[in-house]
Amino acid sequence: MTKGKHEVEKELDSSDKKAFTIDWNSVLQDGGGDGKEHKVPELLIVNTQNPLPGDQMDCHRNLTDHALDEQLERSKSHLVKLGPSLPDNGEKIRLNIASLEAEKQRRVLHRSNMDADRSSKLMHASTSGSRGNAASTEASRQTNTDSKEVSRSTFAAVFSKPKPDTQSTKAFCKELEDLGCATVKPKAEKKIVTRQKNEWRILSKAVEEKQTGNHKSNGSYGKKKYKESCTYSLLDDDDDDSNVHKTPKEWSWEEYPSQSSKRRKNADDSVINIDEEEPKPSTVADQTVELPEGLQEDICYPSSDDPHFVQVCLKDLECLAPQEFLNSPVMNFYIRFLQEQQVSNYCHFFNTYFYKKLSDAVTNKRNDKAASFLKLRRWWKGIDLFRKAYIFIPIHEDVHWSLIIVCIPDKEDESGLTILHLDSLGVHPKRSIVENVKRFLKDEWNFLNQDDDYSSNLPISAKLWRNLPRRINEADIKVPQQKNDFDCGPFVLFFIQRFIEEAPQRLKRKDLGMFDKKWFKPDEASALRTKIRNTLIDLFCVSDQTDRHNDPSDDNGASQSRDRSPL
Amino acid sequence: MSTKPMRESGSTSVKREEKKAKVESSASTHVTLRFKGQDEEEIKVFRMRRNVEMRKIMKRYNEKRGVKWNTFVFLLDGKRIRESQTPDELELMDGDLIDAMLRQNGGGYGPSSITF
Repeated sequence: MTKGKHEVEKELDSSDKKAFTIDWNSVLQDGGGDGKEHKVPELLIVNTQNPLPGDQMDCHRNLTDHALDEQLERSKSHLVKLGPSLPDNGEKIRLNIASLEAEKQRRVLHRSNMDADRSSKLMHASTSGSRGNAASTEASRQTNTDSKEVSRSTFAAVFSKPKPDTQSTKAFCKELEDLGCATVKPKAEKKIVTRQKNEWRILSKAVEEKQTGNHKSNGSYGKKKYKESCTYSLLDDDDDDSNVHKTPKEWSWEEYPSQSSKRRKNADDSVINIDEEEPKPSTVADQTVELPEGLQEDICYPSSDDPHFVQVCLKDLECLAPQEFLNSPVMNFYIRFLQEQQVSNYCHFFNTYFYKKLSDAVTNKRNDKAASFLKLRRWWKGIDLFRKAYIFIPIHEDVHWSLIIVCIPDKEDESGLTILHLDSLGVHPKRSIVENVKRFLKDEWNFLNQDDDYSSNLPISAKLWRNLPRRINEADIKVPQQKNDFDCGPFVLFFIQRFIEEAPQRLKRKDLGMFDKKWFKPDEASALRTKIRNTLIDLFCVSDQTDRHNDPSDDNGASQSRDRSPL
Repeated sequence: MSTKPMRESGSTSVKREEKKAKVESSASTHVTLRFKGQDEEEIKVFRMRRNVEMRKIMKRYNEKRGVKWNTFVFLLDGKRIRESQTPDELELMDGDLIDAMLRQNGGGYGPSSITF
């Protein structure tokens, strides 16, 4: 283990300090200075501007697998620690990392004895991301054959492009955004994580079976399958914050760089994650709790008698593992949890399923539109929405979570309603979402307006009420962005949490200053995973004990006598 | 809730009441529920006893859709239905539409986004 360490360090240091170190010996030995003939990954990674990676690549050849990994780790940590202070912002280190990872893949290619060139050329040819990516996702959905691994690894290598490329993609993406398409942000190296509804679970199993000894066993998560990291390159041009963006409590994905034998839906496992700045992953949170054995299958929160209870199964806890996508039961749980902490009643929280219903109802062009809105109204039956100060609507679309907050002024304030859209990735189509919410508010206004009783007891200023349809505004706010592609769930929940902690009783224009990119550190949001998980485990334990105490099984006739409370 | 059909025969009004009573009694023991999966247009109609746990019908729905138990989350007007509840407890009426929702997962980019 320590054998190659010093050499590694030396090599790394030398590559850091000297601009264009060419190890002539290795270069000449390999009989081909640029190695372009046979090293596909290199071909892909090496940007035509910089010959450096090729040379470095040859140096890496001599490293053992383990040393290679070590050097990779070291480079990444160097990038984190030194990168920002270097004149080139760590560009050389990035290139070194790229070449290291390429070397890893080269070995896989070599070892798996596949016709790398053929498949890689195929991948290489498809520079358009979506097509290539689609191909790779298709590939990844099937069982992991070696050829697929190979093609994926080389595919991945294509996209570990250095920083300069993102400028153009940034512009491109900006354009697309303007056109109203849901696109990816300038973080161009992102891969698509195509999570089909349940497919990812199946796929991950397949992945796990193919794991090499590379992965660390994650003690705190016990037997939970450990997903390979989604490696990606996040080049955040906006944020100067060099602190950790990812929760220190999670396993650093850096531990799982290009693990060639593990393939997820997408292949860019050698994509460099520049923004993951945790030098060395500390062991998972001091706070993370082991999942006890023998817990019951699910819990109802706050209680099974509550008319708006949320139900979470043990299996749902899996989505709280690092880098997993949060699912609706967990989202709804935590929203409810936050709601329970509220003393006053001036917030209304819709669950994650509401928005889809809302958008169906307001875009309904059929002649049963009135009826369908009536049906929708049952979702908040007995609640006067306009009497609230804030309405929270979680938005779920295209495997992404974002949040809408509707701010309603009090009676003395005639300024109008404000719709806020909080999106930690900026991916959701803000315009159409806000439009739908506007229409929803108008429809509700329309409905209530027909009721004379309501008009005589308005929760907001009469003048505002009269003109409400024209007094619904959207405020353009900026919020902290997630530094990865899996934390939008925790971000939405953290938005809600921080908002209710910090927002005034009623939001006024001046209060909009609380929203900006520095509102909180991204890793604070990511850390919510652990907190939610622990909270849930506690609840499972408590519920388990209570149930054992009260009644052996919750499901038999006993529940009938308990559930006489009105729904 | 049980209603006994009237035994007297002869007058048409009585007969009508009989019929009504019969219908009511059947309606009072059973309920017809409609299930709509969020991922399809079709509405599946089920009929079940009012005093039986929803678990049974939820299971049937999952089976009919070819998925395992707990794949769908069942909502009535946005409120989750627990498998141990009965139509009576939930005060369900004939024709009530229950939404069968799939778990939503979210984290980052969706498949329809343009990415690399």
